[in-house]
Amino acid sequence: MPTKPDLSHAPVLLEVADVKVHFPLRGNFLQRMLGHDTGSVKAVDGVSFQLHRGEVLGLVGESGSGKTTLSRAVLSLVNVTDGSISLDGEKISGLSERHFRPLRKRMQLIFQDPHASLNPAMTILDAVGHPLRIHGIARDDRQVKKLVGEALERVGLVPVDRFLRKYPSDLSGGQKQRAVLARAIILGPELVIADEPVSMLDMSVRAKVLQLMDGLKSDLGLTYLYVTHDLATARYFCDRIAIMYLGRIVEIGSAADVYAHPRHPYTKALLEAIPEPDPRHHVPRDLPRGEVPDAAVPPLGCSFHPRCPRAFAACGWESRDLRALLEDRWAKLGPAEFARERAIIGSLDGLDVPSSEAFLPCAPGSNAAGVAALLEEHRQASPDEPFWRGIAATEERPGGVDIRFHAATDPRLHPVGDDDPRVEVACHLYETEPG
Amino acid sequence: MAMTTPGTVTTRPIVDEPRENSAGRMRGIHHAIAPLLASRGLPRWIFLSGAAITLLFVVLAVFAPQIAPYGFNQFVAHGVRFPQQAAPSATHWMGTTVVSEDVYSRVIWGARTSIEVVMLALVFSVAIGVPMGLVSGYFGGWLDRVLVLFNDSIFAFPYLLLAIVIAFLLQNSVGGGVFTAAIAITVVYIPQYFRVVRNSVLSVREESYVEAGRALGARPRTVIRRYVFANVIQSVPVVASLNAADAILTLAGLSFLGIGMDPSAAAEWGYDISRGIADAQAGFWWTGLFPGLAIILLVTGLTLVGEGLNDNYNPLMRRRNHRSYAMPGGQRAATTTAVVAANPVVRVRDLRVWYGTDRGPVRAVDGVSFEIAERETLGLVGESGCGKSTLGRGILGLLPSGATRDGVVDFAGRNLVETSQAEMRKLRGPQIGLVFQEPMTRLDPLMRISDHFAEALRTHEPNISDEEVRRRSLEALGGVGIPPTRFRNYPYEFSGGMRQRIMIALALVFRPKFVIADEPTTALDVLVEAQILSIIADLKQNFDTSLLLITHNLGIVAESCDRVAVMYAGRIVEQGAVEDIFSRPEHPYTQELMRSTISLSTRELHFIPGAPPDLVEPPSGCRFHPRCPSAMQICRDSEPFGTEVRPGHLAECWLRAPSGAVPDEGRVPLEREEIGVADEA
Amino acid sequence: MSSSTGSLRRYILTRLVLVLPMVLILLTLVFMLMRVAPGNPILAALGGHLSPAQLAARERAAGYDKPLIVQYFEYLRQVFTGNLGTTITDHRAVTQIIAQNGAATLELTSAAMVVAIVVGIPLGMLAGRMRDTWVDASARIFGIVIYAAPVFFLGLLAQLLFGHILNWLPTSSEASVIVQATLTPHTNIPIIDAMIDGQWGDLPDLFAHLILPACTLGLVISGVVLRLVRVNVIQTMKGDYIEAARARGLKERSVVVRHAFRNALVPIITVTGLQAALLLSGAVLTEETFNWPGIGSELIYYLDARDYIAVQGIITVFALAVVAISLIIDLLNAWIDPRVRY
Repeated sequence: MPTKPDLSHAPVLLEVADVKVHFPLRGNFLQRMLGHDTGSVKAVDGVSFQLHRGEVLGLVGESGSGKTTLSRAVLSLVNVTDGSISLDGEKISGLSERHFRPLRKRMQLIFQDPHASLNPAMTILDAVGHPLRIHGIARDDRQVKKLVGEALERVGLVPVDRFLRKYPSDLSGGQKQRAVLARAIILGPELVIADEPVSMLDMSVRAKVLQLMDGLKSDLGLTYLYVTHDLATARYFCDRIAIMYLGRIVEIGSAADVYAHPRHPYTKALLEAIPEPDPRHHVPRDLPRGEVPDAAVPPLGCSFHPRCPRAFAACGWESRDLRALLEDRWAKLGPAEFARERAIIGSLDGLDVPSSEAFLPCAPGSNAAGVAALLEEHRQASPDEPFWRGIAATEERPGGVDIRFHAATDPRLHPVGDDDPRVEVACHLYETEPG
Repeated sequence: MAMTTPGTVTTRPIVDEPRENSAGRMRGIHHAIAPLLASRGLPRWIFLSGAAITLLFVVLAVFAPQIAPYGFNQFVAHGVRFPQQAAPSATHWMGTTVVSEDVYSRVIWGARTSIEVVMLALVFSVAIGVPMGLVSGYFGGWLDRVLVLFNDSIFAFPYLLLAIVIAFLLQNSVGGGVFTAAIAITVVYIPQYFRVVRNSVLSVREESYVEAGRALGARPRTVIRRYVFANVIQSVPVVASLNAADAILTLAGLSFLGIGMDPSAAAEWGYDISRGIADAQAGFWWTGLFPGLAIILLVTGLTLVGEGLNDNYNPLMRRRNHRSYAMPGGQRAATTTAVVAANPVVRVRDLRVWYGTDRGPVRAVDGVSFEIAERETLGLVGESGCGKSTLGRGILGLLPSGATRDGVVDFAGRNLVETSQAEMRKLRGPQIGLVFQEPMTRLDPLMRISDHFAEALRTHEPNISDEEVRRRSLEALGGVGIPPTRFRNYPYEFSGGMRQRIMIALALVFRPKFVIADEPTTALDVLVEAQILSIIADLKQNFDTSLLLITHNLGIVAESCDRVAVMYAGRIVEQGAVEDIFSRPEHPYTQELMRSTISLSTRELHFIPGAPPDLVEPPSGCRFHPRCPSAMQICRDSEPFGTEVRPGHLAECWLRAPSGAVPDEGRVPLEREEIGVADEA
Repeated sequence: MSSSTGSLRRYILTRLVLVLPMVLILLTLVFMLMRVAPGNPILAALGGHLSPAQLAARERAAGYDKPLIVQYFEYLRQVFTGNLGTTITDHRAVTQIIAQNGAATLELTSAAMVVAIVVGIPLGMLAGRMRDTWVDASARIFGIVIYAAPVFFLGLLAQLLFGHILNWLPTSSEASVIVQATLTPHTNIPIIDAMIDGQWGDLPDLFAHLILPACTLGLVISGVVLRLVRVNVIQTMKGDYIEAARARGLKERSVVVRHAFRNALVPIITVTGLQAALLLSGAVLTEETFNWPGIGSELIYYLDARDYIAVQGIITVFALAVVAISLIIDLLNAWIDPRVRY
């Protein structure tokens, strides 16, 4: 796709407004009996965007980002906890399955694993033709066969007769994915959600499927929501990109802008972390540490702050960050030094409860002053560590040190920069910009 | 084309799905029993012998009136009373009972009773248990919880007792007989079907194709029937046959106790045995023995059917039929490799790893040569099915049975291909390390991390002190960023990325000279992948380790490797320094692979037509020739040998062969059929 | 991360609480079963023996004229206060029957379980380890055939062989008459009673009586255990961590015993525990075959006598035993497998 048309002024096909999808945790029996709040996994935690007709919007994120859950929410395969989703201006979230069913003709889904998304017990004819029967488009076998044949031709599964009677186990990965595409387009949908459509295919085949998807877009006037973790294919295929992290969009804008000038530290890190097939290019060594946290108890404030190299006071520092800092440092120490520090600081278990106030106990045989001194030592050793900017005050008291962090605020999506349309970023670093 | 213009919505009601024509149904059945027809060896014999025995009894049951010489409680014939408690003889093959019944006849009539009762019970319990399991598993919620609690409670209850009580109660109200016994048994076995079907549904429900069915708009009952049930039904015959076996025993137990069957209504083996016990005290062995043998035989038959089905259908029990295959002697042209250094850490020459299958040997690795110098990282790159994983395991000797190796792997002064398993075991760990692809499942869930280290260290250094174990383990873990405070955690307490670090630490704690990393980052997130790659890069600095990095990702090769070997269909088609290969690839496959790799700088899509070849019968000559844009005649006729295109850069391609090597007629471009979609990967 | 012992304690508590619904369901089941029959227990048991007026009096006394729901709660209340009623036909307290004969059943089933485990688990592990060799094939055949033999048939053969033909072992009851006369019932388990009183000379006789029934029942169960253990070992050996352990150069023996077998134990324990149901069923049959004075044979006796109250009481005890066993299994699992404790 050499030139990307500017579709930002095309009519809005899909509107997602502050959508939240929270899965309640079951907890154990006792907790349920006693009526404790067992918490929930906040898979999607306040996502908004608009999808214009004819465009390809990429939802890019790693595991736990919520992109898959969001795509399922659009298709009413999981329930939306809060917020709304609208198709062509009509609200479609919260509808009963009976009312939603006719809409499925307009929105379809392509899956990640071609080996798992076709029913092993149905032939290709049955599988691709099934939507026709479900929605009453075709009545008799002959008509179904004709329409299926046309769909298979469109996706390139020719000669058609060779494939009609086959079972999925008889096809290769690329062929299966084509069959899945045929099944998705046979009803003439307007929106196709593609969830990692090529991630499980070999490199030599990916291009073919992407090309096919591109061709279908122009021939059939499709709009795509392209969900993936692979920034490379997303760059090629998408007009606009939304980067997701732990249930939220952290950056959204046209693909050209986001890739050329990534603003959110996470986006920057993602782009820098991808190894390029070019020996002159090297992945920087100073990439964010840690991993995507547990969505059931996300970090306070900005979810990315524990890993962000540019975090500062307002980003939401909390007790768990202190534990991570200490453990990180101890991993690097030799046994003698570790023993010395361990003798000063007591149990870290109390830090696991997320809070803006932390209490760091001293070990038996040590005192609060020793703990404070050790903390200061750590700070001198790595003064650039963002963590220290988050501490508002420390206070010694018998048994340990109280640490108070700056108040945490959630960053919201802000338009930033001069591009048209403007890129939006959810990051405290950019909140001072006019917007 | 049924493409309505955007905006219109058809309001026609949903049509009943037309019945499949009979040809379709036959195909469906054929598809369902295909695994059974294809089975070989032990599972097949188990199933067939069980089926034969069962069939025998069914025949006896159906044709009892014709086969049995007398009625089941007949004690007289032609006016002559049968002898009492007579031993087996010509007239009464299995002797007679205390009331002068013919034992042989009673055994046959007993077969009829057993088969009748069990068939009835089977039909009822399947008809009730299976739909209940389907609904409960699919819909979940409070209905599921109630049903599970209910069925679990019945399931936990001793079958026989339950059957006894039910049979007893029914007997008093409706009288004993086949029907009574059947009902008693039915109730007992319903929970079995419920449980098995529900578990099956729970696992199938998470599959993408079920989600696909829902996304298409299929109604729940259609989803259940065509998507869930169609794939769950395979588990039912296994349970059915095993339950049938059990039911025969339960029935026998009931009638042994005098419950459920009225002796005047039908013959039953268990009842006969109960009388046989009294006879046995007096030395009359035949009245109880033959019915007992009949029970053993029929139950064994049914169990064999069940086990045979399980061996064939249950994916957890399937076994690849790997037969050892004698490798033909090395007929290949001698392959030359560029000399890398004076003393390479590992040198591989003409390595072959073949698996035996029914169709012939799979030539997963078919003559591969390379060397790795000290502190060097060699990337082995290729697509799925090219043999790179097999190569990694082949070097270590960690292959499943039925694989044969040939060739030379020089390491630490010996040829690993010829080293005994016992010697290899000593090398694995201290000298050669291996890091796998899926970190989530590579640690023993029941052992702490500390125990993993202790075990490994003590195996290879039996006299090591506890202090030393702890010190070295913490050092290794610290090197990969795992803090000492988590040393005694269990694997489930770590995330995927952390587990991979632990695996790396476990490999490095020995400071091996050579490490093989098989797709170490494929299952990990992008940022975590970068972290692991940086740890791997440090290996060279801190540990003096040589690394064979197996991957399908060219980016990782460019990032982390010094040299690269490109693998295709079991052969290394090109190898050389990374800068050289990436800037000037010489082999057409390497060129195609690079062009079709989608990276951040990709502007145009490119793919390779066709699919990787069948490794049982690879293409003649150069294996890439069917897909190569520059193929010549000679490429089909003979296998190319390695040409040193530049110092340290080797390519196996006729295009790069020295000018004298290829005759003129060999240079004619190859004519091939166009590769269609039907042959694509 | 919170300590593992803390979560173990929480798990135990949670699990104990779950016992209640299961017990309730089973008791309800028992109650409903016993009421399914038309008429009432008094009528069924004593119908022909007493006059209508006497029957009516008995019914009132036993509370059978009250509405069903009242009877249900009465039944529950009685069970929870340890009162299982009095038999209709011979006026014994059901709890007394349980105490006396339950011990005998306990002795038999414990011994049988030991036999089943000692035979079944090692053979199953061996078969799983040496899959598809002749060792595996013969173990499987043994497992299948031995389970296919009804326990009373095996008992018959055993009695024929060891009793009648060889005359090595006694074939009925718990102990010979003489020994029975000299034993003082403390726990009602003769072997333990003899040991308590120091009557060591009685032990050979007691063991001789125990061997045939225990081995008969135990062997039958071992067939099932063997096959289940085999399947679990096969599946465990396919685990990725097994391959990883080999890649570290661990001795094959270590890999198999410490990693595979130990991980296989988790499902094996569950599965063996489920055989408790099988064991109790088999006990009833074994007791009938060998004249063993356990509650199984009492159950049959009272069934013949149509004494519903006795039957109800005995079945209730069986139900409670089942719940207790499943509780023990779950706790064992939690102790071995740290993942279960959440």
